[in-house]
Amino acid sequence: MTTDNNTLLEVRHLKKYFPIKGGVFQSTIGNVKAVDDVSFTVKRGEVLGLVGESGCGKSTTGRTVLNLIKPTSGEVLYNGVNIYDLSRSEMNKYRTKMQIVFQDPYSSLNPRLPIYEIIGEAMLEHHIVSNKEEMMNKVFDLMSKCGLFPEQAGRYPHQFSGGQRQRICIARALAVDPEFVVCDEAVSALDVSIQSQIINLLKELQEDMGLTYLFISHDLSVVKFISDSVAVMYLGEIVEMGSKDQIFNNFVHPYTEALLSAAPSFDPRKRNNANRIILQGDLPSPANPPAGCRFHTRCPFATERCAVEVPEIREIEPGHSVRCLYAEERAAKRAAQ
Amino acid sequence: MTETNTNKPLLEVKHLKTYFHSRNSTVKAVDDVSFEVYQGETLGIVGESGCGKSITCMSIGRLVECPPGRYEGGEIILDGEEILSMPDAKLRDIRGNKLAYIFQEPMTSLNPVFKIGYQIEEVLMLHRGMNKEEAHQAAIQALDRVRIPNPERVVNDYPFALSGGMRQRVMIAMALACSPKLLVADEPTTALDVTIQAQVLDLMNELKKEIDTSILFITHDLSVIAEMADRVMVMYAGKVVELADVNTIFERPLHPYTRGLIESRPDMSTSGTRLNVIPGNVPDLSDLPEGCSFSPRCAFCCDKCRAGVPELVEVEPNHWVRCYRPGGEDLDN
Repeated sequence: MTTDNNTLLEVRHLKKYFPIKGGVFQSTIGNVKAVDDVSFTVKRGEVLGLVGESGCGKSTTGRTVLNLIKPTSGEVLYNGVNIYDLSRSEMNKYRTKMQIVFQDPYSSLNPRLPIYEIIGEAMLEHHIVSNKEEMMNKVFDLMSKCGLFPEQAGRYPHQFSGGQRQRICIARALAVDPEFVVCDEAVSALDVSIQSQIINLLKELQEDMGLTYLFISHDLSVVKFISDSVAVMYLGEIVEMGSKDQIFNNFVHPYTEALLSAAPSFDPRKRNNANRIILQGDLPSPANPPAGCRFHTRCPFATERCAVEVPEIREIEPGHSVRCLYAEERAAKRAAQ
Repeated sequence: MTETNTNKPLLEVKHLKTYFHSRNSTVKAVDDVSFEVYQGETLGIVGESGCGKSITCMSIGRLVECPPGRYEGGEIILDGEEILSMPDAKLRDIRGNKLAYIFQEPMTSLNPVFKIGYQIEEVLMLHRGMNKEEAHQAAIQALDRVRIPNPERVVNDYPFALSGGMRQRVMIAMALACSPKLLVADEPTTALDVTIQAQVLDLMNELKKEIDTSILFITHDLSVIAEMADRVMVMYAGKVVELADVNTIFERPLHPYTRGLIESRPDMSTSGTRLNVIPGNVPDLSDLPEGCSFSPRCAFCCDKCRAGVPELVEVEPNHWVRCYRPGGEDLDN
C-alpha cells in the first residue's frame, strides 16, 4: 500500500483494545479487542462502506480514525500526516477537515441551543467566519443546502422531526468545510421514507462538495447504494474488502456470503431460497475471540485447519482482499461456476 | 394461501377506533381499521413510526393503557368471542392462551430477576394447570422447540446471561407455550442483527407450520414483509391504505404511499444515482391535514384529495385501496 495523491486517508494496523477491569485492585484482567489490526485506505472523493453486525467494531473504527478515542496502536495517515502524532492544537486544525454524523439525531443535538448556534458554533470556534453576520449567512446557506428552511434557524431541536434533525446534524458536520465525513449509521434510526431522503441528500452533498465518506452501516442495501468500495468487518477484523462489485457480486469470504444471503430479499417470490445460508449460533465475545479463524465457530465451510491456523488478509485480485484460509480456492470455484 | 380465504376468519377487527385524549388534543392512533386474519395465515402490517400499527396490535389484546387511550368504537372478534366488551377475568384467560405476543425488545419483555425457566413455567401453570414439575419439563421442551442449545441449562439462567437472539427465542418459546391460535409479533426482529434476524424468521416460519398458528406480523421493514407475510396491510396515519396479498403488493401496488415505500428502498438489485423519495414528513397524528392524510406528500394529489377522505375500496378481488386515484389513474375513469 503506497500513499499516492488519490489517497485521502490511510489506516495502518489500527488497534483499539478496551481493558476489562476486575479483581480487588481493579487491575486489567483482559481486553475487549474492539478493533484488531485494521488497515484500509479511502480514496479522495470516494465512499467506503463499512459493514458488519453489532459489536464487530465498525463504530469504534470510525471514532478511532477521527481520534475521538485514542487508539491502542496503529497509524492513521490523513493526507500523509499521522494524526496521532499531532499536538492538541495541530489536531484541532485537522478536526475541521474530518467530521462525523451520528446515528441518533435525538441525542446528538443540544436541546438548549437554537439551530443557528448548533450549526454556527464551530465556524466561529475554528475562525472559518470572522463575525456573527457572516456566520448567519453561512448557516442559512447550509440549511437550504441540507433541505431545511433558513427561517427556522431560531428554532430548537425539539421542534423538528427525526429526519429534519438528521439534516441539522449533517449541516453541522459540513459547517467547517470538511473533506472527510464519517457517517456512523446516519440513516439507521430514520423511517423508511425519510431514510431515502437522507441517503439522497448525503449523495448529493458528496458529489457537489467533493466529500469523502466513511459510511458505517449494518444495512447492506444502503451500503450497496451509496458506496464505491466496501469493507466487511467481523469481530474486530476486516474479513473482506474490495470494490462494490467485488463484494456484492464476486464475494469470496463465507461471512460476506452469509451476510448477503441473510438479508431478506425484496421479492416475495424469492423466499425459501434453497441456497440461503443461515448462520448458526451467536457472535462470539470480542473479549475472548475464537482461536484460529475468528469466524470458524459459525462458518458452514470450516475445516479442522480453520480452528488452528490464523488466516492473513491478502489480495486475491487487484483491490480485493480476503481473510480466509481457502480464499484462493473459493475464488477459483466461483470463477469456474 | 388463497384457499384459506374461504374459511371463517380467526380474527375479525371491525371499524376499530383507538384514540388518545390529552388536555388539548385527540390523537386518532387507530381510526376505523378493519381486517381479518384467517387460520394459518400470516398477515403483515407495515407502516412507518406513528402510523398506528403497534396500537392496532395492542388493541387486540386490550393492552393499550386506558387512560390516556380509549377504545372509541369497533369490535374485535377472536375465535368467535368479542374482546373489547369482555370482562377482565375472561380476557386474562385468553391472553397467553389463545392470543400471545412477541415484542421488539426481548430484554424489556423478560423479567430480569426471575430465571428463564420460571417465567415460562408461570404461563403453563396458570393456563394449563400444570404442577411445578410438569411445567418445568414443558419449559425445557418449549426451549428445545425454539432450537435453544442445552435447554436443561438455560432454564436456570437469568435473561441477562443470554444474547439478543437467544432472548427473542425465549420470548417465542413463552408465547408458543400454550399453542396460541394467534401470535402477534410486533417488530420481533428489528433489534436483531441481520444473521440473527434470518435465524429467527426461519424459526418462526418452521414453528408456524408445526403448530398451525396464525401470525399477525408488524414491521416497518418491507423486506421482512416480503419474506414472511401471506397478505399485507399498509397503514398510514392511523388508517389502512392498502390491503392485498404479498405478491400483489410488491408487483402492483396501487396506493401512491405503498408505491413510494417500495420504490424508495434501496433494493439489493437496484443501482443508480438517486432513490425515488416520498417528499415531506410523516404527519403529526394530532394535527392531520384536511382530506386524504397522504395528500400533502402525494405526487398524484388533486383537488378532490384535499377536500374529502377516500374510502377503502376493493378495486380488484381481494385488493383494497384507500385512494381516489389508485395507481395514479385519471379521475374521470
